[in-house]
Amino acid sequence: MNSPWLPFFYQYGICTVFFIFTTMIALKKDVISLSHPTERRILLEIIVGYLLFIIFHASMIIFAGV
Amino acid sequence: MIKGTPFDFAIIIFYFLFILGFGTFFGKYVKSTKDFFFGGQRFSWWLIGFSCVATTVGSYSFIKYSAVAYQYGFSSTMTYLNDWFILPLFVFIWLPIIYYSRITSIPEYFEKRFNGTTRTISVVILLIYLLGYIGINLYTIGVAFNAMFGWDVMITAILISFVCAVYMHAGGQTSVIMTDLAQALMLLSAGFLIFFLGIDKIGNVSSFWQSLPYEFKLPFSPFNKPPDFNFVGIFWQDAFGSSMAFYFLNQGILMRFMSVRSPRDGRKAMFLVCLVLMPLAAFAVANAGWIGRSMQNVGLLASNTDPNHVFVDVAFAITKPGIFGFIMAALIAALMSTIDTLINGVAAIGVNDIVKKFVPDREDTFYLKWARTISLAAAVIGVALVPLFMQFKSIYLAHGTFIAAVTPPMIVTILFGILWKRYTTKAAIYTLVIGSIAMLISIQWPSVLTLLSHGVAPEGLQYLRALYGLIVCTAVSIVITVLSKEKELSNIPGLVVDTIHEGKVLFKGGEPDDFDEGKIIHCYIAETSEGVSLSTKMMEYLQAKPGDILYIADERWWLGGLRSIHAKAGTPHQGVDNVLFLGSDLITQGNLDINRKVTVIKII
Repeated sequence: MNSPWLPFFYQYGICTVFFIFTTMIALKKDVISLSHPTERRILLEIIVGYLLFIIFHASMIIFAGV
Repeated sequence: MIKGTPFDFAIIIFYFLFILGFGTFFGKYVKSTKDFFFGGQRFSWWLIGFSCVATTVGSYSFIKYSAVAYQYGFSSTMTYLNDWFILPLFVFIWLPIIYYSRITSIPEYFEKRFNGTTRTISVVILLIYLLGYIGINLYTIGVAFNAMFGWDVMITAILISFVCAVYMHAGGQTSVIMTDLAQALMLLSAGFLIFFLGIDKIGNVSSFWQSLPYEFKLPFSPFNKPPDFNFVGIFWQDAFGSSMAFYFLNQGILMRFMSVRSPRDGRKAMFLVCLVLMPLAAFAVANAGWIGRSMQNVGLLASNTDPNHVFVDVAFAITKPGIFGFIMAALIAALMSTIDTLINGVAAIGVNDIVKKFVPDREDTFYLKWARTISLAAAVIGVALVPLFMQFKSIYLAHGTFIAAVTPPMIVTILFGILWKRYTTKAAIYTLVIGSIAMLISIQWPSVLTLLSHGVAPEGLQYLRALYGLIVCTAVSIVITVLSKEKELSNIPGLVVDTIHEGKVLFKGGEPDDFDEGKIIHCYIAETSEGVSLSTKMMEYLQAKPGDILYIADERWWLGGLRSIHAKAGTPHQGVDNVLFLGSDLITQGNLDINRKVTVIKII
């Protein structure tokens, strides 16, 4: 129960479900449209930002032992 | 022990006078309740972003996160670095709902979405939340000043709440946002200053890094221990409880996003907050604890240092006279930037949800007077609540316990309210009432939290109260909705994800077209009797039509929209392209200078 990766997977597991669920609702209800370049770019920025946080936290765990 | 020299005192007093004068100055921009609460919906994204961070970082942040950083290491940042997952919900759904529906408070949303009863219940819960938040901030600054100067906690609370109330009384939201910018820059720079001076004291970055053990450098605390700072409890309490409450429930934060010039700027502000400023703030508020631990490991700090005093002790140990005063002034800045927002939030709820309900249809000046009076009253009540928080074992515990106990019923009701069109009024009332009762039961009998313990020891169970509240409230919401009749969708335009488009239509008074916002033109003002008129060529460039809402602002970007106005585009003129004909009333409302160029963009 004390692996440093357990909190990482717990947090990003639950948050990713929430992230995808709310994004899908926004798409399904036409609040954003992937056919429009501006909105497609905004969605991409949000996904990239989320990935940056995942990479940042994973890097911190890896480099803690250095 | 009294820390600080007369020079430090002088810096702190200078800061007080500066912020008092700076905040009060913006009183001249307040002509109506719309200005007092929403700053006239005119501000740029970067100003709102800094303001949000200044609000997030309270005085308790420096004390509380330095304390846990000193005890547990880099995992002290996990509270500030887990907000990004709510972005799709916030920017795509919640932001357009609050902006286009022109709601002035969360309780007003409840009445429009459900009914008056839910509005009344939410007023009670929100006032407890906001006033308690003011109280805990005043308590923490009292603790810090007690450690530094030996001042009485209550005397400090009274002094600081007085300064906040005075400039809030004058300038409302405009003062809050403008002083927040100064305060955010100040508290971030103070945090980084502590780090650089601390590293200099220790030797270099390598010495700092090598002096810390492996566990200290991990970004998350261990999954279910220690009881007072385990990952799973903090995750549910802070990521889901506090963050959700902050972005969806905190009236002050909502008013920030209602003050922004357009939803597009609101989106950019949110990106700036979550991706840039919050990580910087996480570093700024916690690094005194990391420096303190490193200093202790190399023999530069006493091993019996009290975690609650580590921020002050480290700041005193690494700084010279004057710089210590600056860092303490930053601590006060953090407090004031949070409290002024909360006071403004209480005033908004007080006027819009209480005064207007009992004394409707009066002139705006009448409500503006009430807004100012309630601001003063909120500061007084906040001071009165300080003794309550003095009873808790630690500041972290007091803050977390309070937030987790109050907010889950409101969070769940808002989320279901915006996401599920079938969610009924009856379900909302049951969720608020049963949810609040369930939270009280968990406080009286914490053993009900055992089922959700995740292996956390009994003394740490209170951190899972937020999860318990979210589960109970979600269950009540779903069961009651399934058992009750669906409300007609036509009654709630713009208030649910399904009806955001209708909300835009109502906002504009016509078919919305907000895809092409972003093109900017620069022009001179020509004063006219009324209305707004751009040349045909400029209208084509903006892809705007008569009836579209335009945003006209002084071209000096650094004013952040302080001198600006929204107006509907009129019929295009055939004259010189770079001339905007603008009504004298709009020039006055927007505080525009006709001798300066303005920028124009189409909003919707």
